[in-house]
Formats: sequence, C-alpha cells, structure tokens
Amino acid sequence: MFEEHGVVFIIAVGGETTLYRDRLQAIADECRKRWTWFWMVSNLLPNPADPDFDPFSAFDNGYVIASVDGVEKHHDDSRKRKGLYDVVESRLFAAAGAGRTILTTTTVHVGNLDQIEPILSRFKGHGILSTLEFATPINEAANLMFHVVGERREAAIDRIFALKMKWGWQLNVSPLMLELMRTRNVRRWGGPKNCPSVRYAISVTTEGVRKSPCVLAGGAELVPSCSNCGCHVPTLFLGALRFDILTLITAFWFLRRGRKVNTEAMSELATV
Amino acid sequence: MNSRNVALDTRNKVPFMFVVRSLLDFLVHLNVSATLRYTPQILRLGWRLLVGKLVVASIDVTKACNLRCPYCYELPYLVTLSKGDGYTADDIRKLV
Repeated sequence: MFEEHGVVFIIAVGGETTLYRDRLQAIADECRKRWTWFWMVSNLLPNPADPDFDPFSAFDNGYVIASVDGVEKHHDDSRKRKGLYDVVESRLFAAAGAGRTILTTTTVHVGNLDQIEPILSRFKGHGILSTLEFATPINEAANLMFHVVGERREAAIDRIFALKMKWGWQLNVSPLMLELMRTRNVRRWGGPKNCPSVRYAISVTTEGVRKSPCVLAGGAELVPSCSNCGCHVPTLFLGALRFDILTLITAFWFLRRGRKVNTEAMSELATV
Repeated sequence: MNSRNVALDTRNKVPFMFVVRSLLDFLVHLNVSATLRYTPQILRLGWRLLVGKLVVASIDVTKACNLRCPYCYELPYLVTLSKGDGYTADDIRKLV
C-alpha cells in the first residue's frame, strides 16, 4: 500500500516496536528492496522473550529513536518503572560505543521541562543526538498541569533556543522548528486541513486503517488538539519546504557517522 | 491556505556563524556510504515535498507495550505481549 502511495521512508511506532523482531525485519526487508531506510521508535526496555535482540545493530537500514523522559529518577518516575533509566542508558552507551547513529526523543511536558539540559549533558561525548517535541493534548483541551502551551510554551521555547545555541548539533531540533512550535505560530500553520502532516505523511493503525488527521490520532477515539499541537514532524516538513539549512540537517540526522567511543574510559573520566 | 508560506512570529535570531558551524559539523561527520546509498531516495523525497506528495508513512507495528506510562494517550488500547494483537509480519509486508 505504501509503495503505491509513493512513500519514501517509514517510521515504525507502537506500542513498543522492538517487541516483535519479525515485524521490524519485514519493514527492513521491504525498505532494502527500495534502497531506502526506516526509523523505529523504542523505549529500549528489552523483551524477556527475546533478550538478545539489539535493534541498533539488527538492521543496516534501520535507525533507532529512543524515548527518554529525563535522566535517572526522572525517567523512572515518569514511566513508573524503577531502574528503567539505567537499562536505557547502558543500551544507548553500548550502541554509541559500537559507532551507531542514535537519536533520543523527549516529549516535553510540565514535569520534565527542566530535564532537557541534563539529557544533553549526559549524552555529551557519546555522539548521541537528542530531539524533543511538546506533548499534544489528545481528546481534551490542554491540561495546564501537564501540557506546555500558550505563554508557558513561549517561555520554554526561548529557553530551549538558548540551549540550542549552547549545545549546537547535539540538540537535534532547528531554531526554525522551535519557532514553528510556538502556540501562536501553530495556530497559523496547523489544523486538520492545513497541517503538512496531512499532506506529506500517512499513518496507519495495527488494523491497517488510516489515521486522520495524523499519527497522533487513532480512529474516532483519539483526536489531537491541533491548536495546541507540539509535534515536531510538521515543523520538519515546513522547515524543509522553506529550504532552511538547519532543519534539513536536523531531518537527516541518521546520515551522521556514529562516534566510536570507549564507554568504559568515558565512565572512568566521569568519576574522576 | 498554503501553510508553507504562512508568516511567522519569531523572536530569536540565529547568528550566521552558528549556521556555518552547524553545516560544517554536519559535513565533517557525514556518513558518506549511507549518504550515497540513500541519495536517489533523498532526491525523490525532496521532489515529492516540492510537488506536495506523500513522503513518509508511520505504521503502528503493535498495540503491545512492556510499559504502562501514565501519560500515554494510547494507554486504554495497549495490550500485553502475551496477549498479542493478532498482527503478523506478513500483514506488515502487505502494508509496506
């Protein structure tokens, strides 16, 4: 179906994508036939039934986007699983040490707004890039105890912009993408009809049903609040269409070489 | 309305040297073999973007998840790995 639509590349989402190696293998095989690539979004918690599966090295045309909510306790508390961050970090560092190109993604909400710089700091020197987006309200108006919207998002974006100037490439989101994510700008380009995701992306459920308007939706049950959208996917499209060089660099993050690093030496240095 | 040409309300200016430095850094760390391998599809992607056609597909490969993050909006629809979701690799091949 995707081939008929002329789709260039694929993003595997879930659920947890790495629970089913055979399904990812099917995507990898089909993409390889077309000389293209795919991304898979994962929480990096291993499947007890398939503990040896390493999504970083399993596919030569597959690239992992790891979900990270914060560092250490912040990640564990956010995901209600003690020790989860240690597992995620050790897998990330092992893959980085093997020279894999890795992107982490953080969905920013009120509870982890202060975690962006700690994440960047933790992955510094490991060649791990980090991106972010804002949590989008689904099926409801924004919950001000959780969602970063309105003036709060304006202030957050100003702070993230300063982080971008400080951390450069390691924060894999372009300044234009940040500007586009401001609530007042979202209301100019967004909406279920205007959003570039509707034109340039197709999303399907596990039943093979097309989601409308975008990946954040799910049939009639899940409806995103477009006026408060925090998704970075449409901002990638808009930045690319404006020929913004920093957005193009951001979009092609997987074309960067990984940096083979001695993770043990890095850990020792960190403890000195 | 074409969202591509919407005027934006921007607050922050990007220093020219930041752009140059970022571009140089990207080029220095470019994976040449991957870039060459994907160049035809990257060009196709650019062309399709310009003419307003579909470029990317996202696929829910499973409803199973090994976490139950309280903020996940798909939480009511998630299943356990043991229960599964009846989806197969062949289904994926047909979709892709």
